[in-house]
Amino acid sequence: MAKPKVGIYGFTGCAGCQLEILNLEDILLDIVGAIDIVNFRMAKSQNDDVTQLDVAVIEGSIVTKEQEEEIKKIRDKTKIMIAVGDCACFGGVQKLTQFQNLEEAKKLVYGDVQMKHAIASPLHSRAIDEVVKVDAKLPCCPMVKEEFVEALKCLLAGKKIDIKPHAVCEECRKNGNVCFFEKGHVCMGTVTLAGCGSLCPSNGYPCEGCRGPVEEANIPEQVQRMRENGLSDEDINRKFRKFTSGAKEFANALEIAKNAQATNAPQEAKK
Amino acid sequence: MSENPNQLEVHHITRVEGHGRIIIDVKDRKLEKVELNIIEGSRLFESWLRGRRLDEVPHLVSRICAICSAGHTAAALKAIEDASGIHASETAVKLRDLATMGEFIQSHTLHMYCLALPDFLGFESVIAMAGKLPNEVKLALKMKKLGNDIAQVATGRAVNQISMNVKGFSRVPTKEELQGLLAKLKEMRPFAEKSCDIFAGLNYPNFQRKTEYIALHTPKEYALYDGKIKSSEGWKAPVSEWEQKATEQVVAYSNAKQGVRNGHGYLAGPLARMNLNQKQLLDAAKAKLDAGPIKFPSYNTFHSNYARAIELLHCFDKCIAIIEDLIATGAEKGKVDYKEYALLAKKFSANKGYGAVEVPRGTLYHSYAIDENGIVTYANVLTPTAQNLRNIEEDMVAYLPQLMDKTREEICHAAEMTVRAYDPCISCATHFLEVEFKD
Repeated sequence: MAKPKVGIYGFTGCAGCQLEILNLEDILLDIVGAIDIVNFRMAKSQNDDVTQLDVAVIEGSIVTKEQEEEIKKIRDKTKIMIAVGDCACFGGVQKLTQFQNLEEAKKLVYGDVQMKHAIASPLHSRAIDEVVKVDAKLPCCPMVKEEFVEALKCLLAGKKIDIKPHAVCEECRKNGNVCFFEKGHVCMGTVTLAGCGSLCPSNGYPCEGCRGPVEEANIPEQVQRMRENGLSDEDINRKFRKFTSGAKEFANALEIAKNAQATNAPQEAKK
Repeated sequence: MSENPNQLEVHHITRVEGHGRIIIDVKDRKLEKVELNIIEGSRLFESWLRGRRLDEVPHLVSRICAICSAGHTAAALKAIEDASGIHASETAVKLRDLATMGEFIQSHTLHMYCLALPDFLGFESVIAMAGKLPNEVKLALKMKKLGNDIAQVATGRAVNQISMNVKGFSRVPTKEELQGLLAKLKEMRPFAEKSCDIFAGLNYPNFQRKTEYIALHTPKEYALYDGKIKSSEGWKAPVSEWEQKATEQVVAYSNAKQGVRNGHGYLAGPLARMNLNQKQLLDAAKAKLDAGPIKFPSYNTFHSNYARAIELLHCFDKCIAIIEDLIATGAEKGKVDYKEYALLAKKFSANKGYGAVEVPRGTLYHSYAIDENGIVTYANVLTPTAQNLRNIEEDMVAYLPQLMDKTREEICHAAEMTVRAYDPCISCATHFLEVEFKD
């Protein structure tokens, strides 16, 4: 049987997810033995832009028109496209420009020079699925490499990728960490998708929400808890709008909380 | 290839981190112009960092570049602590030093074996090379992993640090973890020594061009975590003057700013460090250098690869020394309970601070201004790759004319190799490399 053809592509980001693939040192040679990597510019010189792909692994976000064209071309020749890391899944930290005036932000960094390239007409960072269809997403910053290997195995065996349905809290409890809320601090683990093994809390630091919102995340309750802990609206926004501000639930947390309050208030009054 | 007959184009420079392009203009077999275009999409970090709280900055800027995330974290921490008057404990500094040293081992091994060596031995990639040199590739991957393990034990994650924070560490490594690293370092050390011999024996292109070399320097040790700015032109300056000393020039054809001094490029990175600081190397690395065939100062950019090998051995011995010290004195003193970050409520004086560290590709500078609530009002980052871009162009302008009788493919390959010698990290400078050749 022919080996499955895989392309690994990096768009705008820190290259951390591609690096995590190279950081699979123990099994890297086994992986490259099991699949046919036809495109991986960060690691090899001979890259093939024509062959149809069984799997395309996409890192990074789309910030230029050229990238938009390129990702469409990749999509056209690919059976299964997987977005890895927060840039590909949510637009990354660079998505934070969405709360700014892009022209002003550009001027702040580059001054008045008229740029010849894409920067001349800057765009806000976009997640891959804002441009083309994505078949699977593996968020986290950087992606969890073990999760990537599992996903690759599933895809190549024709199985569905198993995405955990619960919040980071569950993993954190299993790891025996004392809850940050119990210690009087704010943590994003309550509303964030699990799968990292509660890595930050296990390292003494509250979850920063880098895997994005868990399904049915209770945003109003989280906002309420943050307020009870003395956080201002600016503080609350800073907590939600960090690595995954591309997730609408996180970008609009205060508004969601406000709307929920407005809906609940008349019912409360009836009681 | 470009449609213009006077333009030869190699679309992507590969085996570098990120996306860029080189345009080479040739007329009648004479080199007219070289431009290094960084066409990577910009992420505008310096704009949206404004408005963030100071303790968030290290985690956010670690995302500038995965390969040197610990370096970005360290430079940001130093700048923020300078601005806010917060002091990190001595043990915390040792742990930071250890984390960045692990990153050197990871990054240098990755560049030397996976990205550069295939050029010198005629392979398309490390994957192709693994078939012919399985033992070397396996050992190199093991050494790279050890670098990651060091950073991971010290900071919670090899890529994008977790526990390395303002004032100290939210978690510190256990004695057992440190002992585990020590055993691995000692086991792997012979290969670090052998790497010096392998990279001393490569057939480097014969190309000499003296430029200005700039690195951190301290008489106390081979400056990586701390030091003053030192130039081969004889001047020194405190890190707080970096914004005046190295100006970044915005060029219209590139999304990365270029480091320029008095109208010319300068070189940051392993070659600059070796040219300026070889006397401060630890004994074993110094002895290797003394016994080897290549001497510093060297004005051959391709000798950067040999400089990396010597630094690798230095970093092994430095890591061993730090870990032995931490085991003896206890890493616990580097810990800061998250509660102490309730300094968030504390009032600050509005102030500006500066920080610099050496990262694998050269000196990395950060500076931030904060207001009285600890909110960032100004951010500036100067990465080594941005500093090197002008110098890379100047190298190609000097080197490529020697090759005008070669084929287009050979010229393009030489241009790519010149760029790769700097191990550019284009995510840092923004991100990608393409070669476009006009003739």
